[in-house]
Amino acid sequence: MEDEKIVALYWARDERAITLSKEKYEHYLYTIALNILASLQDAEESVSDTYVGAWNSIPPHKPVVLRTYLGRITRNLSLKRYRYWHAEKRYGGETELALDELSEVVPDTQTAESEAERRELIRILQVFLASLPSDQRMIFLMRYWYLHPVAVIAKKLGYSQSKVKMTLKRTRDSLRDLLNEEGLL
Amino acid sequence: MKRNELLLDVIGEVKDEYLQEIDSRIKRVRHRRMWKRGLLAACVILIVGIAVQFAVMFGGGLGSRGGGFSAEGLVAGGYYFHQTRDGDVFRYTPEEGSDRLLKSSILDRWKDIRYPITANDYGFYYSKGDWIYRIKHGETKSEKLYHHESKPNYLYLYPAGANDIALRVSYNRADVMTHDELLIIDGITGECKTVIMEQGIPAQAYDSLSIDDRNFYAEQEALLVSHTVYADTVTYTVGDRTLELVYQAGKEWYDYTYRLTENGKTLYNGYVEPYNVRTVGDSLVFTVGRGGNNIDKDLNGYVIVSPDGSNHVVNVPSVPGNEKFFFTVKDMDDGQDILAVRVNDNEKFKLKWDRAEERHARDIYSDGSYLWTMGFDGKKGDYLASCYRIEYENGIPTALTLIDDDITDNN
Repeated sequence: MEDEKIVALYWARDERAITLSKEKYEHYLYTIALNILASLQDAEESVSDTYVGAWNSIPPHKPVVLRTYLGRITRNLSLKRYRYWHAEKRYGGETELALDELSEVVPDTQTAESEAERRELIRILQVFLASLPSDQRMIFLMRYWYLHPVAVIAKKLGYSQSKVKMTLKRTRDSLRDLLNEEGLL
Repeated sequence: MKRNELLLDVIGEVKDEYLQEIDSRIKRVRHRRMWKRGLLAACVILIVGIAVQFAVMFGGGLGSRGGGFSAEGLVAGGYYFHQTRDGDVFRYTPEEGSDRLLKSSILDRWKDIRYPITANDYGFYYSKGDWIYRIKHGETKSEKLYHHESKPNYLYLYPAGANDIALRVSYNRADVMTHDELLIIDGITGECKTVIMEQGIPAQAYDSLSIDDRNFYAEQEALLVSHTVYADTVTYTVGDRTLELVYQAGKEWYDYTYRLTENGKTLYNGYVEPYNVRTVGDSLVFTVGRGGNNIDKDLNGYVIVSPDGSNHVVNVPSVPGNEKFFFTVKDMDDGQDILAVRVNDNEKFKLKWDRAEERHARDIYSDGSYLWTMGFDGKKGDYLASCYRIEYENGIPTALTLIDDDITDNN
């Protein structure tokens, strides 16, 4: 079924919307959750919570692309779950590796996380991503949005792993330089 | 929250279009990969398809049927040799029920040529190029036996007694026969034992003829007659008996015939062919010739000369079986009967026939122990050969028991 019709079912408060979302995007959502959490049980809970999140947020939202809308919910829920459990256990998944890599961009230090700083970071990130060539942007987001391992990125895009690693390194360096220029470091 | 965690968090806020960009890129890569795989699979299928087609068209085994239109059956040495329409030759062993590919014509199939073949008690023979090859019974290795001067236009092979073969070659120039010869070759050593007929017409003799001349064919015939040389005698031995076939001039140049004699005494009041001499047991079977005074007669028959001094004539159209019985097939209103013809007195015995399907037997072959029928099978849409065991009661053949409905199934 087309996304538009599934969204219409959410708006009509028809529970078939959840069943159809599951049928169409469950595999995709599990991939995101598992990349972040590296635990099937936790991923299952994240994906399950995603449908609840979608049910609660549509309406008022009316996503144009249901796939990325649901994926975004799963990502956020999975990252929250990761942070919640992180204090107690190490996941050993891609999230830790990604965070280690991102600590090359920004220091691994505590922040007050003011809303102003967050908004500014989002703005600079949007500018930065817009300036990147398409291939470089895709590799960056596959790594830090989807948390895909390097091997998976290489396979999905048809590149060698060394090319993906090198591209990620250069992109991180460029982002660090930009953040430095903008005074956010 | 740490700063790197915050960065990871805010990366989640990127525009949808960037994520869609990734989705469409992955789809494109996947599609390209599938296309490549599909292309590879198509190539493999194409190659396999061509190979199968090649095998069907040219190969032994796949699609190569043992019956086949005009497939010739030869019985010798306890085997049944048969050639497919594609030219492959198989050797069927009735005791084992096995049909072995003896000579594949796969590399020559494009020439649309079927090898001339024959067999005797010693082995199986075929002609290819300038050579006659031999495969001994029980073996599969081809050995060169006899080399002839140049590639003839036509070549035929016949059995000529227990161990010899007859080779007939014709060399044509345009539509005019320029050379024709018939040789008896020792099937073991390859030595040419007898030249039965030789017809070497000098080229200049033909050059003087004009095809527009109304007397062209008459002059051509005159040339053929004047340049044809026949062997005076052809010798065969049966046990201690020495048989001489003495040349008799016929009405026409091609009407060469021989009288069968022993110590100057005629054994058969008619003519026999100097080749196509087969064996049944220790006896020799001469085919009654249609030349000489028999030229206008519709003759069918055999003269069987045995080592014990006895001679018999079978004048029923039939095929040789063993020293006591030959076999014939007779069309009836309700099908076909197979009859055994007793060599001693030509008395016929109808055999109870466990017939394969409703197949019409076009030809039969036998060695006295087994009988093969070759005919068209409507259901399978092809000529097929079946093998039967001949059952005897009190020394008389009484029945045919089907042991192999389609011998090519065993290829």
